[in-house]
Amino acid sequence: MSFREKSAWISLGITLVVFVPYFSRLLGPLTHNEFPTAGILPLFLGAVALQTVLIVVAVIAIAILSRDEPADERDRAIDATAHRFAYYVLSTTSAVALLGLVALSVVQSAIEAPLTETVAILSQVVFFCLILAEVVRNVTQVVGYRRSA
Amino acid sequence: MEPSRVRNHIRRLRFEADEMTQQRLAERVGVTRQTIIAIEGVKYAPSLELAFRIAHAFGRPLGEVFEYEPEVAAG
Repeated sequence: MSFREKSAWISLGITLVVFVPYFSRLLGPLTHNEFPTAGILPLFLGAVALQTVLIVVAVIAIAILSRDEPADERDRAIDATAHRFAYYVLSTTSAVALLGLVALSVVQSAIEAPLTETVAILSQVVFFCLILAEVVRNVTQVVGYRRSA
Repeated sequence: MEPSRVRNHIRRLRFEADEMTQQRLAERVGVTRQTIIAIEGVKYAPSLELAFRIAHAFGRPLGEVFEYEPEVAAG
């Protein structure tokens, strides 16, 4: 397994380990028509910092243990395909999410819900779209490497 | 990636070239060993430039290293 394939597996695994519990924690209160607006910023910053540190440490570790191999044409082809699929997912889900939230904000303004809650939900939905696109990119890379192995 | 229709004789040519290893061939043509494995296993079709570099590494014409199998029409 090449360094880049290992990196894709690690990025995928760490992203799922960090952000599945993160979004599950936000989804719980949402099902009771509540949203943890007050505590969301430290939770968000903590999750992003944790993912960043874990990925950096893991990639450095496998770089030390792996042979130094610059990206070749197959790596670039797999990467290009992965970025293309991630872009499709990001553009589609964020457009759907934003349209849905515009409708939601109209409803919320009608029932005089606080603006901060709407903004907080909007930010987390867009963030979810970004994380989903990243997961799709990693999965596409892993599949590309495994199918050509 | 779809299975490639570009067949090759790289494994035989490596054996004939003093049993050249996949790693050695990869270093000579500037790709990873995994890419050579994928090419030999017909899991990846090399670019034209890479195909020429591989043929040059064996000192053979391109047509002796690679061949294309077109899709057989149904019916």
